[in-house]
Amino acid sequence: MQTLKELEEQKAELEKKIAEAKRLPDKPSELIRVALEDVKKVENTPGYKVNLHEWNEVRRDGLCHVCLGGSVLVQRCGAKNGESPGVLLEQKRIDHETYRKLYALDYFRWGNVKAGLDEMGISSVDLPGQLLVTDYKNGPAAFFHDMENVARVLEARGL
Amino acid sequence: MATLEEIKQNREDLQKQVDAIDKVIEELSKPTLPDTLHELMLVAIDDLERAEETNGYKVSMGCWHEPLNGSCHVCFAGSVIAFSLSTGRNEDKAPCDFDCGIEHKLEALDYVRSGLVKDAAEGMGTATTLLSTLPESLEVVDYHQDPVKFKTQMRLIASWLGALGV
Repeated sequence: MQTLKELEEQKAELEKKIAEAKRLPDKPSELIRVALEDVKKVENTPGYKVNLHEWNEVRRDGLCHVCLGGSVLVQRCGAKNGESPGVLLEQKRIDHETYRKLYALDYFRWGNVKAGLDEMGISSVDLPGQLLVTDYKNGPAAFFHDMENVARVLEARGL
Repeated sequence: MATLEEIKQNREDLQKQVDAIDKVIEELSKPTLPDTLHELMLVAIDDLERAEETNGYKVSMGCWHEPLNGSCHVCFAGSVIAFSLSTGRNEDKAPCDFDCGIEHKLEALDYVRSGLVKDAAEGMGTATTLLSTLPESLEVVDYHQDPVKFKTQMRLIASWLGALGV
C-alpha cells in the first residue's frame, strides 16, 4: 500500500505533467498554429464569437467575443467570460510568460510580427515589421490563410 | 374654476413635458466624439498624453480601460474612454459598453493604432470612393517600443487623412 507521502509525490508529478502539457509553445510559429486551432474550436462553441477587438468580452448580442489570444485564454487558460489576461495574471492563474505569449498573439493577429516577437523576447532581425493579415470579420478563411502565412514566415527563420 | 379631474390632467400633461425636456437634456449632455477619423485621432492623441501624465493610469495597448494592480490600464482608444468619455478610473469598460456610434469610433482607433487605416476609415463610415484611395495598412511603430515615435506617426497619419477629408 502506498504511503501518504508517495501519493503526494505522485500528485505533484501529475500536476507538473499537466502544467507542462498546458504550457504554450515557445516557438512563435507553433504558438500561432495552436491559437488558430483554438479559434476553430471557438467557432464551434455556442455562445462565442470571434472578434479580434476583444480578449474575452460579452457584448450586446449576448455572445462572448474573443480574439486570437482570447481563444487561447478561453480554451487553454481556463478564463471565464469577461476575464482578460491581466485578470488571470493578477489572480496568479497564468504565469508572466503565458501572459506575454498571449500579448504576442495580440500583435500577430494584425501581422505586427516585430512587436509580437519582442513580446516573446525574440530579437527580430531580417524580418518584415508588418505582414498583411485580413481582419477575421472581413473573411475568416482569408484570416486563417494570412495567419498561416505569418507562421510560415517565422518557421522559415527557425522561429 | 377647474375641476379636480382637469387639474389632474393638467398635471399629467406638464409631467410629460418635463420628461421630454429631461430626455433632450440627457441626449445633449452625452459625450460625443468627432465624426472624422483624423479629428478623432487628434482627440485620442491628446487623451493618450493625459493618460501618460495622470497618476493612476498606465498605457497598455492590450487593454481597453481596465483597472488592474491598482492602476487603470488604457490603450489608444481606452484613453478616450477615460478622458473624453469621462469614465471613472475604477470602471472596467470596453467599446461595447457605449452606444453603437461611439463603439465604432473606439474600434476605429484600435485599427488605426495598428496601422490598419482602411479598416479604421471603414468603421467610421467613410465614403467608399475615399476608401478606395487608402492603403490596407501602414507600418506603425508599436507604442511600447517607442511612445514618442508612435504619437508622431499618429499625428502624421491624422494630418494626411485630414488632407484627404477622411
